[in-house]
Amino acid sequence: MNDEFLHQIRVEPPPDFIRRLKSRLDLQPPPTPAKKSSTLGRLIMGLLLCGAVFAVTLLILNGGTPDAPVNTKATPQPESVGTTSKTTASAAHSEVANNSKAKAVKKEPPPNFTTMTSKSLQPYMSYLTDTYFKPKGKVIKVVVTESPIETFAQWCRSLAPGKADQAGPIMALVTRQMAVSDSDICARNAGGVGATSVGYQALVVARSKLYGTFNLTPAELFLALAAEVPDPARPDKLIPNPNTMWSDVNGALEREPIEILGPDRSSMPGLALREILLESGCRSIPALANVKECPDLRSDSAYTEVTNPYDIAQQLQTKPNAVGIIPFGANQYAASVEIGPIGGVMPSMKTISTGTYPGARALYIYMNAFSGGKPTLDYLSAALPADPYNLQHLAIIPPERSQQ
Amino acid sequence: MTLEHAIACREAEELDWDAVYADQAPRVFNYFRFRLGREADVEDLTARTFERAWRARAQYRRDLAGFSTWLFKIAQNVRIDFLKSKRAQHLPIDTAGDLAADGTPETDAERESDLARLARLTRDLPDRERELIALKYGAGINNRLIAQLTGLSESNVGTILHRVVQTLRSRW
Repeated sequence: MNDEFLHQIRVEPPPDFIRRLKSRLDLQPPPTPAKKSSTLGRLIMGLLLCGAVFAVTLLILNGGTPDAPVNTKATPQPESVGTTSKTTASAAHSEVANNSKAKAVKKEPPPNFTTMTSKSLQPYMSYLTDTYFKPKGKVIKVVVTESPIETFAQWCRSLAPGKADQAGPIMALVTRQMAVSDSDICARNAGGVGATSVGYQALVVARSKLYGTFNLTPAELFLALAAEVPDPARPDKLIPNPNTMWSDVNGALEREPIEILGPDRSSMPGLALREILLESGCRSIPALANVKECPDLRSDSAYTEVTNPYDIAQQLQTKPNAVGIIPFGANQYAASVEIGPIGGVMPSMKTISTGTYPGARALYIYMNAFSGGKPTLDYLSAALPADPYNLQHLAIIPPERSQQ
Repeated sequence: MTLEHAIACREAEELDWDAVYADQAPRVFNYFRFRLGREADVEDLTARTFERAWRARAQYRRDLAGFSTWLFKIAQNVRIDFLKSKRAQHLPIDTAGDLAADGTPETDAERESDLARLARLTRDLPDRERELIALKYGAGINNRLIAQLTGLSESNVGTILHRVVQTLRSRW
């Protein structure tokens, strides 16, 4: 059995079917030609134009200013900007912090532009720009921040007044919605920004069905995964992680060795593991709640890096003791693998999109209104792939799928 | 209609649709055979793909994607819709492997065919691997095109296919 044999399994379609289908296709009308505008249409356009001229004349005669903002909804509204509420994530398109300058919105980003995101999201930003902008001849650079927390502040600061249409990142991929403080700076510097949801990033805990799943809390996951944990004797001091058995993490768990198969730490799912699971577990431990930086992923034998997430699901079938951390959905092709809850919440599209599942986060693109704004975001949002597994290797769930 | 749309229409009209059909119909037909692992529904899905493509051919943009990429994207979506409708009818989602493996609709001879045997062997593979096999050996398209369709890199496509063929060979 080889390549040639596999090719030979191909067959020619039945000639009768091919003929019948072609006849049906030939009956379809040709591509829709341009519609000629009717006389009535021209008359309506003329009336509308006259009306517009009349309205502007009235405004001038009454001392009004044609430049005044007409759409009151477009005025910056702190309430609509939101803070970090994930429940508003489904409000995919929102012009936040528009003002009268937003009238200068262009429909297309400039030919050369810069984007900004964190190191952990760079592959997704590159995917988006490579797929949706480079084919249009755009030359795009990505400025990378160290963490998603820094991205908003740096991006809003970079939108210098009067230079919004020039150098500097015009687009940012971030992990939360804009807060009021960000909005103030962005609005002052850029005049307005638009936002769209570009999906979610989610990881799940999996185990062979032979052994059954754990119900782990974020703190337990942290204590099993982190390179350093609080010293039980002095919780304000960090020590190298001494936990080798699950019962070391929590006496109620089984006395089994900690054996975790997870993504390559430098990959996008690996960085997500650190930023989503480790971070939430770290912050749930009182002694670490206020530390500046949470400990990194452990590098001893308890954690094994596996480059391909599908291989993790496959390996779990032969390693019933091991716990796997894989992108949401990557288990569906490994029949003998079971997904477990985190903090009592099972991963599902509902728990991910509402922000109740601790192993997920929402992703948004923000864009300077001068350099593309809502039309570009609409284009991007509509073009995102619907195929469920297209972005699974990045642990990304596209928004279209999330709405199913 | 915008100028851009008009240009797209003109470009679409410039394609020799008869030649496109003659070349692509067997590819799409075999893509569905490999994906479903059986002959049933293949003609229906092939017809749906071409009907959808023909209806939307004015929207095809030669500057954004090759015609094969565009057509197979439609084929992939048709297959996803088909599986969703099967799910709505309370049939197992994984119709491909399961139906072929159970073989209930097929005759004994079909069950023993190479296609059914391939379906049985690939049923435990991840969906992505099954998709790659169908695109490579069913549709007969090259790794570059497969990479565009699946979002994988070209080298990754080659590596995965090599590994899958080795696995199949060992089980055959």
